[in-house]
Amino acid sequence: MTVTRNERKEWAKDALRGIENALIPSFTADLKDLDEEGIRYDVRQAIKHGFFSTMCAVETGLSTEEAKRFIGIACDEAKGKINVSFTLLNNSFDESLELLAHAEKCGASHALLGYPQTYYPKSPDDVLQRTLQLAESTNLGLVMYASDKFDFIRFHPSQVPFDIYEKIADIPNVVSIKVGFADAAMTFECFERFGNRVQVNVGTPWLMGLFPMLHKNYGAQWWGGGSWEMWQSPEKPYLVEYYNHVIKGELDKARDIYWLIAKGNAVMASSISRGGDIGMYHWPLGKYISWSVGGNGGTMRQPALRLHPGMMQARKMQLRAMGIEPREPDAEFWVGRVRYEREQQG
Amino acid sequence: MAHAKVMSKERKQWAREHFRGFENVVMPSFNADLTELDEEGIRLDVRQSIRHGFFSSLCALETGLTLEEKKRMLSIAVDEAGDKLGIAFSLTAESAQENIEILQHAESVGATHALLSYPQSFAPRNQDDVYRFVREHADATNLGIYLFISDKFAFQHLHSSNVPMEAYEKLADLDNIVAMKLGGMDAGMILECFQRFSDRLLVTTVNLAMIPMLRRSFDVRWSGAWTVEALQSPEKPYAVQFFNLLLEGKTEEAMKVYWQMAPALGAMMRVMAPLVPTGMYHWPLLKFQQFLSGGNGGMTRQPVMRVYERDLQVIRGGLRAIGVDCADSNDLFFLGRAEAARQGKK
Repeated sequence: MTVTRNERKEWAKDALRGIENALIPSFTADLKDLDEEGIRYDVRQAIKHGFFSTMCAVETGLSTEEAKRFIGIACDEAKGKINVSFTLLNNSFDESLELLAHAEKCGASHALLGYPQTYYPKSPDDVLQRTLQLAESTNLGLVMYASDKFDFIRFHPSQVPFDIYEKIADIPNVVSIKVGFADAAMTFECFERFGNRVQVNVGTPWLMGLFPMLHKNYGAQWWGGGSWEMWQSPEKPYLVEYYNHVIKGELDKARDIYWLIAKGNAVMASSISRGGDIGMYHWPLGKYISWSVGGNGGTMRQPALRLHPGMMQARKMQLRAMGIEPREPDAEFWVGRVRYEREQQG
Repeated sequence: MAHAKVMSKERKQWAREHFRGFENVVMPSFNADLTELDEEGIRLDVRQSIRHGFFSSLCALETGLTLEEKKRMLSIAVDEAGDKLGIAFSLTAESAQENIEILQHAESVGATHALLSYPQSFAPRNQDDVYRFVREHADATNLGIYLFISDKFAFQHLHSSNVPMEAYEKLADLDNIVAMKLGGMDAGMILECFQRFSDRLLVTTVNLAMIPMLRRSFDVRWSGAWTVEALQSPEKPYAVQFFNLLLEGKTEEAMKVYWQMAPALGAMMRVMAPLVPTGMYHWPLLKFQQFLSGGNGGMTRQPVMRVYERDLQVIRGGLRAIGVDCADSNDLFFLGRAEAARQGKK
């Protein structure tokens, strides 16, 4: 079904409901090529988890052609079963424009608005003009990104240039804003300012616990791309259940699940490495989180943060604390499940 | 005159009238060799608290004081405060017996309320143990008592939120249990405590950024005890203005003030947040925050965290960024203003 730019805000009211995970690419053993089977496997995993959408993380060391292929594979596997989105966190606006055009053809539904590493706007209005350029090039829905990655603190102390985002929120195919870092005052501003026009989402783990209030007061109805597999497996989809209970108003049941999944937070939190606040993500850890509950796994291209044994141990302890037995052996993770099984068979 | 004597049965009503705005922390000042309390320094800091516009000051007694010194510090603070400021204190002795002795002294000199902590040696087997411990304190005094939620008490075996919810449900019904300070940062815990206890207690969080959002659902009317001086000076009382505007329902104006003081909040978080998991406080740095807007300053006794120039620069820079520019040297801080004056130094 083709949705035009002008229909996107209406589309989002129904379409953006539930939890969206992050789809991190899989590679061949020498990391020289994408591993199509691994990617397809992870799309199927996202469906099994009960996520409504999967967000292709293209800022993972892919060439433009690979990023297009990655999105193409994901869309092909997803067809009709799950939405596919992707990040616009590229090296240039030209690349973002190319990805938008390609993704629309493939059947993706929305994209997370980002600004390239090379982009140093002189004024907030410059951000608006660039965003308009992206938005007008596509019929896809665009998700504004309240993020500390873009160094917009010179425009507003919150790091989010609210005045300009107010104008961006009015663009017909801007459908949402991802609240992407843990700052309660910034979160408040986002819900108060934009909640009447776009679907403001839960985009950072810290907000999970506030979801009942955010849903009640502002109608929050979706969680944006993240490694939400941290708190569930396909067999024990705690987070999806938590989400569903909140939506149905079953707050006691939601609370019970929340405190069940909190049991391993302390051990995981103290072992997790930097990420987010340094402007990039720990992709190998993200893959390990997803692999330990059944995902493909496999390592990532340089530049990549390192996965330490302590993090892997902490992840296993966290899973056990909430009653999920982690997958073994780690040897499978380093290769990727699909290829590991193939190697074992052959 | 100190606050008029209030009986236990009237404490909830008293608290509703009295708790409004901020409660800061007053730490002891010492003479140059740290062998004795510096009465002039303590009095100076109490006067500073009044100038800042706080409704109360909490005397931090877990700062290496003997029992007699704790009592003396309270007496000095209450005497200096008169009826201009409530005086609270932390119940952080090594035993309930010592806590109760301090409570009785505090009541006799005119302090108003106390923050209940748990001794290092307190290892409750169940929530009844917590209930009995708190109840013993509440029954021993007419002072108001407020419950403290903190990860440092290691109550996770009682409830994965670290909050012994059932025990606190019963305690919230007691006449002189008046409020609750949420020191933890888990958003789900914060929301649940507001939902459960707001009908009986004046619940607050030290996460200032959350208060505007929480006020959409709850009557959050105070925050403390923490070093609010990190965000303002008596001449530029941003934090106090922010809270007053919130209480007046002028949320948009309040947020403007919030973003004005945000750079100082950011600086404070960069230095202080990594220290939270240690379970103790960096007294000298907290005193430095106060010193920069006229507080006494000075070192505190062992065991104590050390002062590094790098941290002083960040804190000074944060306050300077919001227009609180202290011309006084770090040398003066190390000595304390009162001690420096006695030595004829400035």
